[in-house]
Amino acid sequence: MKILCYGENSEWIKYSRIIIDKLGGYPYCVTPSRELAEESSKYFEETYFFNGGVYEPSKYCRAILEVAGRIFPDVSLFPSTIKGRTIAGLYAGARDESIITDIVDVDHEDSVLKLKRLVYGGSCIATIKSTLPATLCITPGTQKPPETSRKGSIEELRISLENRITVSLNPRVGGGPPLEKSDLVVAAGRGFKNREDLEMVRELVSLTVNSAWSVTRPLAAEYGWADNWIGISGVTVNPRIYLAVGVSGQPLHMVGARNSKIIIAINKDPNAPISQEADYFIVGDLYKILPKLIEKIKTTKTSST
Amino acid sequence: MSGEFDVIVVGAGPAGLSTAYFLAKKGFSVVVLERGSEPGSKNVFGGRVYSYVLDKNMPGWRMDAPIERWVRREGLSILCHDGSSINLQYIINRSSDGYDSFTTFLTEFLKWFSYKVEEAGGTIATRVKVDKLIFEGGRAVGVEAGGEILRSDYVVIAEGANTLLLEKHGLRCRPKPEDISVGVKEVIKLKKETIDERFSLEDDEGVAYFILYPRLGGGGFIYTMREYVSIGVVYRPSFSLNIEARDVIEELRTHPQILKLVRDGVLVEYSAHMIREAGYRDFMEKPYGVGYLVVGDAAGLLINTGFTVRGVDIAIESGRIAAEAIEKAGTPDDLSIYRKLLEENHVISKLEKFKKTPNILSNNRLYTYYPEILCKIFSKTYTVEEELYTLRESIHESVGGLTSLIKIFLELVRAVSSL
Amino acid sequence: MKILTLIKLTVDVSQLKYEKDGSPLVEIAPNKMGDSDKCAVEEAIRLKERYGASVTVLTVGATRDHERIIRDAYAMGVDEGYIIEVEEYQKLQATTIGDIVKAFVEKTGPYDLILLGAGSLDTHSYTLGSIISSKIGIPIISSVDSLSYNGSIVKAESVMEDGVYVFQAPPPLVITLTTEANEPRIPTLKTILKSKKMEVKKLRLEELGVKPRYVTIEDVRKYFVERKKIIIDAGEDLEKAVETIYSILKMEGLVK
Repeated sequence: MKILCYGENSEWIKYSRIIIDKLGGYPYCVTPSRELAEESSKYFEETYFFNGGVYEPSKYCRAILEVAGRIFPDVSLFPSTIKGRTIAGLYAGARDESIITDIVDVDHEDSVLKLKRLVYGGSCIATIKSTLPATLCITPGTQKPPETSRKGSIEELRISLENRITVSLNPRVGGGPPLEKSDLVVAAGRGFKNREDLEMVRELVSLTVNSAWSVTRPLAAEYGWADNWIGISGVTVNPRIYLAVGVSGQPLHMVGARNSKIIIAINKDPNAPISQEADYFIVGDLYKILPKLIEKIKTTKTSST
Repeated sequence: MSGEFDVIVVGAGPAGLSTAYFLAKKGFSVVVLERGSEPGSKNVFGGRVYSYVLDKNMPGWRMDAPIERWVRREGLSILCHDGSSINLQYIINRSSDGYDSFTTFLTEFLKWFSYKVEEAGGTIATRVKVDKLIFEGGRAVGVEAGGEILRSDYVVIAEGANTLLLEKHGLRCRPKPEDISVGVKEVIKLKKETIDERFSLEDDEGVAYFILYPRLGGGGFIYTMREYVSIGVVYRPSFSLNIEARDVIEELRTHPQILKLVRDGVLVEYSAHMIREAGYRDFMEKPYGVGYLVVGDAAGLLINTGFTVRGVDIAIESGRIAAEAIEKAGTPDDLSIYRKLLEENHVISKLEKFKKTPNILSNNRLYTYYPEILCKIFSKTYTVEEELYTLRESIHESVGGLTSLIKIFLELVRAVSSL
Repeated sequence: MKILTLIKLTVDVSQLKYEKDGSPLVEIAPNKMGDSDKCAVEEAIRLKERYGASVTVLTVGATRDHERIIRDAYAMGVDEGYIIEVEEYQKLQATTIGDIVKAFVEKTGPYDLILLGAGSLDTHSYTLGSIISSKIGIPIISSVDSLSYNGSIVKAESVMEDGVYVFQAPPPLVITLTTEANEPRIPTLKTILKSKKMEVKKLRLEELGVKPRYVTIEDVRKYFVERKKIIIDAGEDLEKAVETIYSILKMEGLVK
């Protein structure tokens, strides 16, 4: 089986190698920059790159199709991100092959793929069969393959960069990493009585590494205490730690948090639904626990420096 | 025609849709305005419809109506405190014409009914909240919704038990707290085979059980759908235990005799609604005025039996009669013929018989005292203890004699027979 | 200007219930027009009001609810609506929908803009727009959170993980919109009544010359992640509770 991967970023490049090994195929990768190609060559036998510049889907797709036209892949892998999906749709449309997104697990029997994908806003998992060739969008995970000293081949693609669409990017400034990429996500729920009390959450985030905070839907949509929220209609996160503070754990919220590696919940109500979905369920008053936690981090920090 | 339509009907419940259907059949241009997102989405309903009303007026209705099961097993169940129950069943022979009533989901039934209205040429507009009626010189000439005015020759008010429009225009007064009942319903999903087995049913056979549960001081019902069981309680907060609606139905569902029937099911729907205490007492004396008619629950045309609310067939009948009245009157000026036609109608005239229902309802004896006595008698008679009771003895000990027992039975049967 | 909007009948995921074994009771969950599709219709109507346009709406399916959502679009101001009748519409492959739209555009187009929702909650693929773009050969701008048009150039902003992208291009374009794009209007009594009188046109796959391909779904189950469920009562031992959270953060190397 020949597998072509679109290497959008270095974390995904590593994770896609895990998927490729699971399917058992010969790996090719296309990346939109030389830097990513260098990274990719540690894990892929053959890597192609193009100087993509600012993301624009049809331009990127043209490069990937160029490689596909040479190697005839059986499976093409994309990350299930906004960019990844958009390019994958163009790619599958051009090749007129099946496309399946939001895949969380892959398997195959002979030439039939057996895939598990999220449906109904992430509240269900569907098992789907697909014939080859197929385009698959995989929900990015954090697993990494072992480092090797191997170095695959790298080839630069010459593609026309002219386009009818002009693009500019206003990069995100400050404010730490976006929710989707944070290792720690602190979520505030209805347990918070006043807007000012969210200051505790902000302080906790400022004291931790690669962390971000958000809220549940009512706090954002009804009270206007934040710009985004976690849940079915908001952001889906997959941090290493999800710290839910004063969050009851309604299904529509939890859908956005279930991919977290560890879930810690602080809630006054011992019967809150989140008690069933947490690894560590701290029963108690957030107004007592959060200040103590912040103090603990601060004092430990000063004593160690 | 003074407006865009001959007739505006407010509310797409059974009465409103029926009015629209029969008017459209007669060639009137008619629109139904419904505030919910779908016909019937604001309705509370146990799950049974009596079919005579459709047989008579809508030939061929069985071809595509959403019938869940035909009721061929009627029952009365008294649930005792200790988890036992006393049951009385009437099993209708399959070979006889057991097609008097069927179970259905009201939303499905009304969806079907609304298609019939559209096929007949009527228009149904949902998500339209009528804010008020437009009166000119004492005559209803249209409605206002979201700042827009729609005019018509006739307005038919079919807004259901929650009579906000009628109250706004002083045509009816707000119900007193003691005239409010609460209906709580749960729908539980089970496999068809499981329902058939637990209720001893075959094919499209279904049950309708009435339940007396003395502890709750209310009555309830169980209906079987094809793959669902619907259970409900109608109780009066004014003299029931001080408990939440959710706890009332929870307690019913977990009574050992009910639990046996719904065990392992999935709860797919829960609803609680206020019900205006009905019966003849609440019937509008003058359900019409210049340019308007009131039909169905809004006019008090329903029966709150204390166990369930029976209103669908009556609502459909009242809608049909309203359509006939509009046709016969020929003018919006004098619609008094509506009242006359209602009185002549043998179903609606029978509402008189239910005049007593609210009295029975407010009679705690029916819900609490009598069922408790019966539980006691049966328990004494069929429990083997050191001291052996004969039936006569246990009756004597519990109620003081056979005559009293007969009295109790008679009163119960009288109450139940009025359902 | 000619605008085509695509709408999908979706399951209202927030009202989904489950069997004991975790299979979703999809058949009893209410259906509605996809939220982001509604925003696409709204955007089309705003362009129509500003610049004058004819707006056509298209959906694929075979239920009365499909007719209902076409009428919902009419009530918002859409001029013409089509249903492509497919019985097993829920199982159609995304590429087949792409074929349908392509054939439909060849029959009724060309269109200056093809607008659709970025994704529906039920299958949430976010790929249909680009499949269509590929098949028809019109460029795509996807996941648009804010759209403007000055009569010749479309300017679209899309918020992604690394910042805000601003795309600019003249029509023809395929554009997918998120629910951030606008607040869809609520139809009024008069527009609802007007929508009831309008014709809903129907086409069969054979009339479009499209051969359907279906997804093979083996099983759908509720997604459940097994958690440790360790309970710590902070009311009894506040120190222990704080220490637990701190040590987990420390262990994952997240304390500065």
